Amino acid sequence: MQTADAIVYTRQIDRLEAINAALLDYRSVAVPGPRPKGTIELGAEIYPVPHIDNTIGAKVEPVSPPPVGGRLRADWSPVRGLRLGAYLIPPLTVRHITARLAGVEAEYGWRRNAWVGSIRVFDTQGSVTGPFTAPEVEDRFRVKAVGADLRLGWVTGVWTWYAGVGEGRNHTQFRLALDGAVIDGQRNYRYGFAGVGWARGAWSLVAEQHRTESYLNHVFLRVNYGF
Amino acid sequence: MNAGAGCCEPGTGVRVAVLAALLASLPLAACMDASTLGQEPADHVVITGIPTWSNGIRQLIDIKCVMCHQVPRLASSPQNVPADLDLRFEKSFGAIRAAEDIAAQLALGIARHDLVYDDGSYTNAGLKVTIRRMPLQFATPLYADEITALETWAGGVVAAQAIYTSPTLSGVIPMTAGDGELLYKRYCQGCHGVYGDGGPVQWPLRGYTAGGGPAFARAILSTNPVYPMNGWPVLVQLADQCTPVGAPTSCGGTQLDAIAAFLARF
Repeated sequence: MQTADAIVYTRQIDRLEAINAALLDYRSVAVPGPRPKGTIELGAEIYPVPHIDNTIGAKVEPVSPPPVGGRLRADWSPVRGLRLGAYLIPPLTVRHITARLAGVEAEYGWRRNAWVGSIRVFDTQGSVTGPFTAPEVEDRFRVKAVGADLRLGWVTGVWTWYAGVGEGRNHTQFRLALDGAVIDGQRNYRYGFAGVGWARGAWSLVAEQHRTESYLNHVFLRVNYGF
Repeated sequence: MNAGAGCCEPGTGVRVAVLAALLASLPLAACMDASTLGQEPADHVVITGIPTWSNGIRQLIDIKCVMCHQVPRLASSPQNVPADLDLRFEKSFGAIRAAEDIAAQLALGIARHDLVYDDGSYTNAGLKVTIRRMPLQFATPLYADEITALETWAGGVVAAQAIYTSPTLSGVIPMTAGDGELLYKRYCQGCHGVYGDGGPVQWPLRGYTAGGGPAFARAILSTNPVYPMNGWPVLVQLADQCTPVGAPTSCGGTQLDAIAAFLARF
């Protein structure tokens, strides 16, 4: 029945799923360009969680997410230009919420004078559990996403300034513990971002500003140690 | 170069880098927001004139109720929604109840408050069922004029039903098992399940009638909670025939006979 698609609360739920899926997405958070053969980068990434209005219908869902999210990342360049990576969100419980997500990525980077670029594909999936709809229940939000992005940058000294665009497709499933409902959503999404990287010696830092569709602006910060 | 090397002494370089990153990210941090639809106004169905199924009620129920109340249940609706209620339709079919079959609940104000059903049984068994106010909090809310329209429509349906089941009429016009089916679906099935199989209150009526004919079923029904929920006018009409409450075996009334005749089929 087509009218069902017009129901406000389904739109609200879908938007919240889209926002949370984007927050959990696997973004580059790295300067573009090739790394020397054999380089291994180990890093930690954090992203402050913006305020989210969790109103659905006449109910404000009692979600209290951690103020920041984080993940551990590792990348390896088996040959110059090719970079393979993975991430893991450690299954720590914060404010009764536990995330279990992981992902893999592969990218090819190049450099021409001061200009650098990378093209990347990624795959990520996992779930977040917690009392999202009522106290002391364990609701489950599952997310799978695949996508690709391109970023181009300019290197000046220890700084690299860059920007990029990407597109992905995700599949979310929200299972409510209390009444067994499963809310399923699939959507394509596009994002743009700009970032700056700083590198000196083995250490590097990256900050990226992302905009996803029309509904989410958020920031990533990452620190890397390479050897 | 020495200065650079000094910069990269353990700790120093990291501190400088963190400071630089924080400074660089300050303007970026201001660019964090999530655009939800939390404040989006609910869809509003404005009905002009007398609300009828074809004049607004169907559209209103489609938008505000059908997402959960359809058969088969969608995965996105709660598992405990009635499995026999399909509000896409005005009139019941088979064992499936339809919009007219919930008119009594609407007339009683289920769109404004919970309905507490108490069988009022002389056995004082404590059977009490609460049906939550609809729509539930997380669903698209109803506007005040939508509630009024639903109750106006429901009041008309209940009034027609009251005439249909009035003792005077039923005393003149014998009721059949077919009449009993309609009565059962409207006033019993929500709690006692399809064909009296027990339903959410887990109080089967089918079992009482399986071994007997209509007379036996009638006797059983008259001693068990066919009794109405408090404040349900139409069912009070049924109960009024079963006075005094403490002596239900003295019940009369062709409505109960008709329900019994219907249940005796199963």
